[in-house]
Amino acid sequence: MDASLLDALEPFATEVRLAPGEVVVRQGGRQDALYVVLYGRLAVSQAVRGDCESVLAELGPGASFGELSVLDPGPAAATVTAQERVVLWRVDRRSVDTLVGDPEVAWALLRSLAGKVRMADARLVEAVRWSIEAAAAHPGES
Amino acid sequence: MSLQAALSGSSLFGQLPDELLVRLAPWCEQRLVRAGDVLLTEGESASRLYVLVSGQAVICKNVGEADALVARLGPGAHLGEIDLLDAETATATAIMETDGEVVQLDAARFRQMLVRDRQLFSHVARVLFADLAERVRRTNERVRATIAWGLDAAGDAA
Repeated sequence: MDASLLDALEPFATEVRLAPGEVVVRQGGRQDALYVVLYGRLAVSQAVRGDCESVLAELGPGASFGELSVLDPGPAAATVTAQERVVLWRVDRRSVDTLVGDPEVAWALLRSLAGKVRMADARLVEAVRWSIEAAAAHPGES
Repeated sequence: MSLQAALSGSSLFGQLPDELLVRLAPWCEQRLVRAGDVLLTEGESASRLYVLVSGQAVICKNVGEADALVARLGPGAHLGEIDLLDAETATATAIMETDGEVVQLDAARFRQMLVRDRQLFSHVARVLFADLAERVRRTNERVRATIAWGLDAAGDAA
């Protein structure tokens, strides 16, 4: 996340502290805030089936999450879990909505979201490659 | 077709009220395209958003050693929205399958809009937010389904 966006968010942010293993966002649950990681690492994971979870990404200082649900309300797409002691900024939806009225903030958030689209696209390509290899390695089992 | 009418038929900009489409039109450019014209080339720099006004385009993406047909787009569809924002490289190749017409918005013009018509920019930003969010959601679901298929195909042995 770029510095100008952090400056804009700071007055609206409240600090959140998490212990290792604590879940801040749960897949399918209500999500109504944008988060910025100040300290520590978190894992972003998605349930693939009832018995299997796929880790999509690891987030460290400077990374953000929650943009999707704040800008386009809907259930959380993934679960975010602290892997160690974590400090976050939390900016609620109403504040983000106010901030987006400033075109410079809107621009910075759009660019951040564009990066997330590129990451999601790259993950899909990886998933397709992996699945084709997995199927080829076990012919006849599907 | 007028530029404003072309924009109103777009799944992206058609959500904006007429008053804003009138203001958006001068920031865009309308042009004719021919079958075989390449709008975007995967891996090459790109910095504009296209709205397909008429005709059909195909989107292809390199997966491993092969090119996969990802989508076929028709009138009203848009492409290049990520390139508009970060002006990096195109994530897929887009080729016109038939003759047609497009409306394009260049990244440089979009940045000028931010300075000269801040209100219009904010409205356009909001429709882009919803579009990008939906795209990430859709892609995440496809990732989930693809991994589940791979696990099934491998009989959970992988």
